[in-house]
Amino acid sequence: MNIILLLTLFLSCSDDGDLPSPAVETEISSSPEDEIGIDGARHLLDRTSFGATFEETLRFSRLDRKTAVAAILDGVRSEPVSPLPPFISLPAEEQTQKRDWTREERKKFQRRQRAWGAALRGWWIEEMITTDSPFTEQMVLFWHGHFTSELRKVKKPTLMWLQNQTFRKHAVGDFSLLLREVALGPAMVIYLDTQQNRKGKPNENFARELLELYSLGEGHYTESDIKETARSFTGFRVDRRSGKVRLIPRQHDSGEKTVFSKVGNLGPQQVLDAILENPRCAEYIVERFWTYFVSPTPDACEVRNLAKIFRDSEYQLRPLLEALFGSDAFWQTDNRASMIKSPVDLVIGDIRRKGLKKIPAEAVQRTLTSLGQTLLNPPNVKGWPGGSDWITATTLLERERFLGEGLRNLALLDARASAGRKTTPDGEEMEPGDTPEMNPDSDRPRNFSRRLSRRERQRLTRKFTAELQQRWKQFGEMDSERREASRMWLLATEPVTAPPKSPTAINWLRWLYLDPTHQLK
Amino acid sequence: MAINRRQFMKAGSLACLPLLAPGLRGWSQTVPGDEAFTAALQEKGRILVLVELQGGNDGLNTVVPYLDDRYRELRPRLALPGDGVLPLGEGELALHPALRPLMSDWDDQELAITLGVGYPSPNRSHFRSIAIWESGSDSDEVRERGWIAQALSGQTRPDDLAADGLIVGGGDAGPLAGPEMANITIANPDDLARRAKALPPAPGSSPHKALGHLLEVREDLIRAAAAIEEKRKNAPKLGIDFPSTRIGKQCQVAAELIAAGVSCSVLKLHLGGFDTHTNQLQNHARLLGQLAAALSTFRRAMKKSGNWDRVLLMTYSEFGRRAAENGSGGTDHGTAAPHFLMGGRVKGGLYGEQPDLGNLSKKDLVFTTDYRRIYSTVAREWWKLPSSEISQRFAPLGCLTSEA
Repeated sequence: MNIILLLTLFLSCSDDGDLPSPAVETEISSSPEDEIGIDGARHLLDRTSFGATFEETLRFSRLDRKTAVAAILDGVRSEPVSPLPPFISLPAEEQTQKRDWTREERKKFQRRQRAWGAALRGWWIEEMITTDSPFTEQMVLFWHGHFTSELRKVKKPTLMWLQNQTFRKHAVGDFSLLLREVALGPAMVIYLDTQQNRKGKPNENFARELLELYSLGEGHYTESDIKETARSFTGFRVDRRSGKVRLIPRQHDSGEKTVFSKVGNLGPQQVLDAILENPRCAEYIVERFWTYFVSPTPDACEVRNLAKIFRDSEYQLRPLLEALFGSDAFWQTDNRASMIKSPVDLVIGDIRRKGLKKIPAEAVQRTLTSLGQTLLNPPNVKGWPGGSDWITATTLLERERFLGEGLRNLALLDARASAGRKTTPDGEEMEPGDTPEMNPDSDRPRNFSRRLSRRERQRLTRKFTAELQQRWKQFGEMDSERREASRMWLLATEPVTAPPKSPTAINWLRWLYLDPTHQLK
Repeated sequence: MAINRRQFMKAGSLACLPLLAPGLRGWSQTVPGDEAFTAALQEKGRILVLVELQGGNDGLNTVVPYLDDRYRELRPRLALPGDGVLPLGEGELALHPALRPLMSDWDDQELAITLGVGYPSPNRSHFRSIAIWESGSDSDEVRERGWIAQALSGQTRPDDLAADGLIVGGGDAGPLAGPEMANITIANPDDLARRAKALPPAPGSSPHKALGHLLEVREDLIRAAAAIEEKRKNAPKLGIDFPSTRIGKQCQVAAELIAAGVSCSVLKLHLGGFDTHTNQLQNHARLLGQLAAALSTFRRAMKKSGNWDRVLLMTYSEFGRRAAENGSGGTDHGTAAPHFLMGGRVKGGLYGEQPDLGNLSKKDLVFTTDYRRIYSTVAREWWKLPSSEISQRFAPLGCLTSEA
């Protein structure tokens, strides 16, 4: 135990502020053999919560599986902690393009709208970095990659935000409600052309993806099911002004339809019922969870068991996730280090591991994009392919760059912001609802971190390094127990590069961050 | 099931492939066309240079139907005056004045211009249409891999290959995208070498699948960087000044890599800004001027270093633009457009039909040449892959010399 305490002191040096974690602070005494240990804590936190500070990892290490999983699930928030970007509160009227506008007025509006999109993305990133329930954000991201919509097509950032709220509201709640709300949410109605889907002129875009990607998976429906589903979703429009979805009765096909042998004048609700009654739906969703949280290859037997739990609870997500995270498969050694961290896992994870909280979201977004993941703009309707697709020669070097100088630059920006210095320029003209960093007309340099002057950079680096060394000096050389503990905190498996010749704390940690296995979870 | 290319590259052993020529490693059973492809790549060291004109290049103001009255009716503000354009032979077409640097290429009959390039049921979204162009798919079809990855699938690669694709201008792999392709993004070869060298040594594979993939990509990168550095070390200076534009610098990097003898199948370059909805006259002239200056310098460098015969360069873009100009001195997203092929083995001239301005569909040009005929030319005639799907489905343009 002394070692653990010492380590807490020693490694928490990079954590400037403690994250409150109410569920864990209440000490739960579990017998030592049931404790998940540092290795188990890292596994659970990397998979569910973008990783955590060493301190947080140690706290979790002393819990048993059940308590640790409950702590993650109990912490789920329905309300974000970060203040919403100001444009959200603009009246709907002001967020809408007017028909009688000149070309110049339109162009100006479109610029603002793009900037609102960037602000929304920034808000989500800030939430991922600062929330006390990163698991909530992992779930919202999961649903964003499952029920995809792309801002580049939906165009209105508010509608993407509404969809994000829907994901939040039902993150671990009732899947059937989530499905219903997303299917006829304005973002989806625009994204998959439900607006163009009219009686007599059906558009099958949404119907196909609903069955193929959102609920059943390929091979579990017929072309006729798609055609009939499309008919039942005819006649919906997004009101230009209010942004609400309305049914236009004369454009709705109210004839008889057959979907999965259900016959009648089926509307969207009846079709979604038919989908939910299909046992394949629960299995498909469980498979999606499996490949997101457990391993790239679903275990058919385990999937069936979990799908039964999911169906028996009438599509409640919490019991399913409890069973999934509590399963032996989730904790099994073979499944550890079996996944490649997504850019969000890697970037938000390391920011959280280092306890940095004041990094300008824009700098983080640029990094995420260079690594291949732009939030709100998944590459296509299938979402991010993930897995080995995250690693190409390009993204590999960008990942290395991030883990080296990138993280360091972010730390400097954080240090600067923590010292109360502004990271955005003053005196730029703003429209109501806008924020200075989103002004696309300002001629600030593309690379945010370059905005530090050379002198400022040198000063911050000196200060930062001196502080770090001062704090680490008192502990001297790393002994083998400290080394192993920090290894288990940062790596899901044994490192593959050679350890530093002089294993001072700073060398040792840098080595762990840069070892290829740090990119696995 | 084809054997994984990487396993061969790693094994480096020829014992299991007695049919292959010495010095070659393979990653699949021999298929028809294999040997010719091998020769095309290995002995002749053939390189395809892709130049993406991002944003949708305006075809009508690139290859101008300057004698057609309808052109001037459709474009009262944007039509280029007949006395400035550069006539292409005796016909009714002329190049934009900013493309003057390409005229010597045209006069030497090494510039092929394919007219009216597009595809049925055109899509006017940047994202969707470039995905179609990159993957060689039909309009309503989604393909995961790029058309080059599909065409090269199952082929033997030369021994000293630095990478399948070197992506010089940034951006993603696009036509090169595919799980078996080793593609390397390279902005500055010295920087790449430096960054690759900074990677600590690690094993090149692992029984763990996820780690194995990561280590394989890492090794591809290190190998490419080392191969590039090795070749460049002893390479003589080109002694040619390139334009200092972005595309000029990309052409310089490409020319230096080729002249140094770096072995790769494809180099991808990129010039953005063609989405000319407003103020097109000025912007388009600037872009075409940069493009022509860079490409003609590239050609000069390739000729001087004796490499022009092993280079085939092609332009592509997600779509052309609307026939009629819009209300703000620009053009909106359209359909068909002309594209350029250049190289020492190109038979210069015009290929395909210029779209008829009197026969528009939804105000857009109707394509006359399927874009995949260009790809078929590359696959069938340049790479000698007659059995690849693209060669089978689409007729090549016939714009390469017979000994090519």
